Amino acid sequence: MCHSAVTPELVLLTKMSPAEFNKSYIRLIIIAWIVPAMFGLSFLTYIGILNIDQLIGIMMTPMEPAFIVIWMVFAYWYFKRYIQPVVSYLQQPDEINGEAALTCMYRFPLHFWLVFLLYLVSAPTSVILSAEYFTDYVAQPIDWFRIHLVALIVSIIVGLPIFFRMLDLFGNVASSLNLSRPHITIKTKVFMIGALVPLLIDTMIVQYYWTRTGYFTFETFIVWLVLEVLAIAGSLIFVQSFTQSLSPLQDLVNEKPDFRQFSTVNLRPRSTDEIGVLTLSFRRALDELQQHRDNLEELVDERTKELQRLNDELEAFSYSVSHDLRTPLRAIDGFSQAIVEDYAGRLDETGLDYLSRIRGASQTMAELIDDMLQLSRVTRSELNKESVDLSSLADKIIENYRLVEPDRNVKIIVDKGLACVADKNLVMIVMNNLIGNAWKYTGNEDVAEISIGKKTADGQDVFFVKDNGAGFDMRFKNKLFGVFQRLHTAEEFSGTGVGLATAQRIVHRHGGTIWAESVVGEGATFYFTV
Amino acid sequence: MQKTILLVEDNPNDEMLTIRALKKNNIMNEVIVARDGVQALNYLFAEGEHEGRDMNDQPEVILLDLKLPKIDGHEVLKRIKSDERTKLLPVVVLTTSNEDQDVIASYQLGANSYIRKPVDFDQFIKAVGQLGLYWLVLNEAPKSASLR
Repeated sequence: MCHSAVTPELVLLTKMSPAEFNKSYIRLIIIAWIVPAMFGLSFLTYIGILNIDQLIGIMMTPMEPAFIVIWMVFAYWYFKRYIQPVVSYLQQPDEINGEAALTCMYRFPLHFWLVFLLYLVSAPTSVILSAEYFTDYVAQPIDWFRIHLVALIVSIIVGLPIFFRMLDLFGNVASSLNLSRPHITIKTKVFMIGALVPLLIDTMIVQYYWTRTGYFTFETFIVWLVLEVLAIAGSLIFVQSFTQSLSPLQDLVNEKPDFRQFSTVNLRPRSTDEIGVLTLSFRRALDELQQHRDNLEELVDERTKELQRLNDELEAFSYSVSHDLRTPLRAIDGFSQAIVEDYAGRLDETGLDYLSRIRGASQTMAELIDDMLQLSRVTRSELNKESVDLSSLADKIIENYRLVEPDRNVKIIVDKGLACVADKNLVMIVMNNLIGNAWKYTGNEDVAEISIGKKTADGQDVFFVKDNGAGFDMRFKNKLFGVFQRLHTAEEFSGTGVGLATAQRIVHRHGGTIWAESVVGEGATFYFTV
Repeated sequence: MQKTILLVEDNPNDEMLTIRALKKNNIMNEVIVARDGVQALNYLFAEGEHEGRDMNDQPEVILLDLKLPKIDGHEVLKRIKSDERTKLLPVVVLTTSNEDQDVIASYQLGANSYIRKPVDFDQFIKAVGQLGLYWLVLNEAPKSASLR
């Protein structure tokens, strides 16, 4: 089954409203059930099987009109199931209705002819019976055969155009449907018109002369046969001609090629009619499309180079940020310290305090520069995915924090066997940021508790770092991962506001998500997937 | 006679701070300062303004910044390490950058150590003290390091 892309743009192409569609359908059913009956009866009268009094007699009795009306209502009811999905689709053009409409359209022809032929067999029977019952008509055995034959022929001749009109009705909707194979082939249409119709007309003429002359000779049969053969042969030649015209397009229908890499070399017109011209136009359109695609690729290449250049520039920029911004900071810090050491005697307490503030600020700025550099590196560096042992990674990170602040009382539980496939260096940064935060924001707790583990949600591993620290207000959770966004003042907890932005960027580069839950004063839990 | 230290540094502030940090660590070796790559190479190879210098008297350790005018640190490092006369001299890259590419390039060119200058001056003093202790006291250089 083809999953259609029934887009709203396509639906706009449909000019027909549901009501219009329904109306046309009812009209066609009425015509299909009345016209053949009327025509058949007239023909039977004209060639003399029935006389005019018998015809009027049949029509004046309740049986024949009732028969036709009941059949018509039945047909309306029966075909409704094929029409309703199309109407629903026109009312609400979504994918489900589109599929249903398509299914019904493909089934319609077979069912139409089954029901119609049933009608054609039963209608003459009803004519003969009502003629015998209500008029002086007496049917000979040969009449049973001939009347049925005439009915069949007449109905097919009249039924064909009606059938085609029905198909055209569906054709009005086709523009917005995902038509993956033809509803009816042109070959069938041509054969029906080219062979069936002449064949039937031929038979009717024979019928006419048979009745008029009263006999059916071997010669009549031969003439009939020759005409039939000519009709079929001629029709086959037509079909052949159409087949040839259509073959280049037919191949496309059969092969369903990938138009993104399609060569038009074999798409050549094989006729000089409209279909040939159409094939040529189609080929030109595809060629032009290809050309546009090539241009687009060139454009993308160009843009990619441009982006690469910008990226290189950015890299050079962050390099010099790393180098050039830190150098003056070192001088600020270094010489402040030199003043403190060499000229402490000449400064009062306020002066010394100012100097320590200068040093603190320059160190904060150094951290900020480092964090920003890390953030920009995270975006630039290539992903080298490998299997990473998160548990041992966490242990190592925690060891570092314990070394720096050995006096803190922090209870840490790291679940065993945490593993994922990711870029080790980058995941290290994520874990370092999350554990670092947990460490930092539990700074005011008497007994700090941090746990690192995993849970499974929707079949996916979700890793978490949980603490019992200060936490944050969930109302600001969307600010949490923004660059330079902080939910605590520098006096409460130090920090640059870059760490979580970096973590988020890393997680996103791995196609994962990161989020947090917290209650103020009770701690926070950070979750991430990779 | 005490060996010298060659400090290759273009920034006068950093030069002053490094010398101060050496002094704070009681490293009293004479510090020769080269302010760009050309000066550094001229000194080591006794060329240009240093023509006629005794090439047997090479520094005990070279402290090399990477970002330098004229000839950058990597190029200086390459010349030192590719010349028979100087390739055994210990070179400590002392720079602001911690970009991976700089660290890797430095070691590939034969740097003996790579130290990122911390902004915190206390840490800077510690770092200089440790590298002084290591390269000037603990490390046993080949006797003829300066010769070949």
